[in-house]
Formats: sequence, C-alpha cells, structure tokens
Amino acid sequence: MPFSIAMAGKGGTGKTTMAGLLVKYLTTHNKTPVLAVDADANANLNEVLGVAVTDTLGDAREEMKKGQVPSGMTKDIFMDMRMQQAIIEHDGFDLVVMGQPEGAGCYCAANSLLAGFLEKLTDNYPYLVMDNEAGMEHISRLTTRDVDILLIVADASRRGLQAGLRINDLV
Amino acid sequence: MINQAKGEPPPQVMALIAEAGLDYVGTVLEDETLYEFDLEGKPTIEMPLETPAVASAFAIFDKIIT
Repeated sequence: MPFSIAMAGKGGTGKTTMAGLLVKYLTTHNKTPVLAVDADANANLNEVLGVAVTDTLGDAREEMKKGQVPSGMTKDIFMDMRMQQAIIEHDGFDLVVMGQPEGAGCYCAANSLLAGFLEKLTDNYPYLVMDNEAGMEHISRLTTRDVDILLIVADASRRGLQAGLRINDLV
Repeated sequence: MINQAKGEPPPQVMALIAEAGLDYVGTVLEDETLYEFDLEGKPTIEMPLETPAVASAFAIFDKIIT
C-alpha cells in the first residue's frame, strides 16, 4: 500500500502546480518510485511535470464501453492492455492521466475494471500523488479512498477558503 | 495550505481553519518566477529549488511527509 497524498481545492488555487512540486520533492528526496495520477478532467499535471501524454485511462474506458475490443481478446484483457499503455514512465515517477470523464450511458463495468486496475497498479509504488477535480466532486470517486494525506490547497480568497473548508465537511 | 498569498494569513483565516478542524500546514507566497514559468508553458518542476515558492512548498512537504 503506498503512502498516498490527494490534492484537493478550488480550481485556480494552484493545486496542480503543488502536485507537481510534491512529485519533485519526493523524487529529489529519493522517495521513489512515485505514481502520479491526474484525475482532473481538465488534465494538465503533465504540463507541470514536462511529460507528453498520448494515451489516457479515459480513452481506454471509452473504447471498452463502446465495445471496441479486437476479436479474439476478452474485454478485461484488452482493457488491461490499454490501461498499461496509459502509464507514462519518467525519471523517478510514472504518470497516469484519467483524461475524459464519462459520457452518457452506463460506465459501471468499465469503471469497475478501471478501479481494479488502479488498485493493483498503486500497490507497486511506495508513494502516490493524486491531482483531482477542482472542487469537491472527486470525494465520491474511487481515487480518494484511503488516502494518507488530503492536502487542501486554498488561495487567500474567501471563496477559495470556503471551498477548502467545505471539502473537509465531506470527508 | 494557503497558496498564492500576498503575506501571512490574517487571524480571521486562521480562525476559520481551526474552527473547521483542519490542520494548517503552511503558506506559499505569490512568486514571479513561478508565474512566468507557468505563463511560458515551461514545466514548473524545472524551477530552481531556491525559488521562494519551491522552498516554501518543500518546507511544507518536509512537515507532512514521513
């Protein structure tokens, strides 16, 4: 089980930059390897980290939901392969990007495969940093279960602070 | 943590945080270097470690990461 830190806070407070600095901190202090998870649909943790993204978990999920599975392969094996492709390796850290959120329709099957994959994947890392949806929606999602630290980033504004305080009420 | 601040948080802010039962871990001040890196699309993790925002953030992480 990794030591996990989830970032939370209103959009624009700088939590993605802080997530990036946290990854930098961990790598420079030899607390590696780190798994960085960008669970924000407006994903840009990769820019902060200077890493290019080609595949996202959201893409894999979408393909699975649409049934775009090659013949001769079961859905879960295909999904596993596509999700593996979404892991971007770097020095001291790996990055996975959630990317596009759910569209219309039922994502239950795809989400449960995704959750299973993430659970197995995170076990391979001693440190996990998650950048989440701005605001509070992520609290109800799978990715912030069992975090060691919920780092709430607020700016000095009234609304930034209120958003931060409200997150705590939900936890 | 308070980010992009112009100074230390005023007492009212500290009181709100305490009332909510949250742990205050530190403040990162506004930083021109960070702003420019971000604006130019340069990865902010490439900023020198002596940059004030990086140093403050690292001091916060020193406190919370075991």
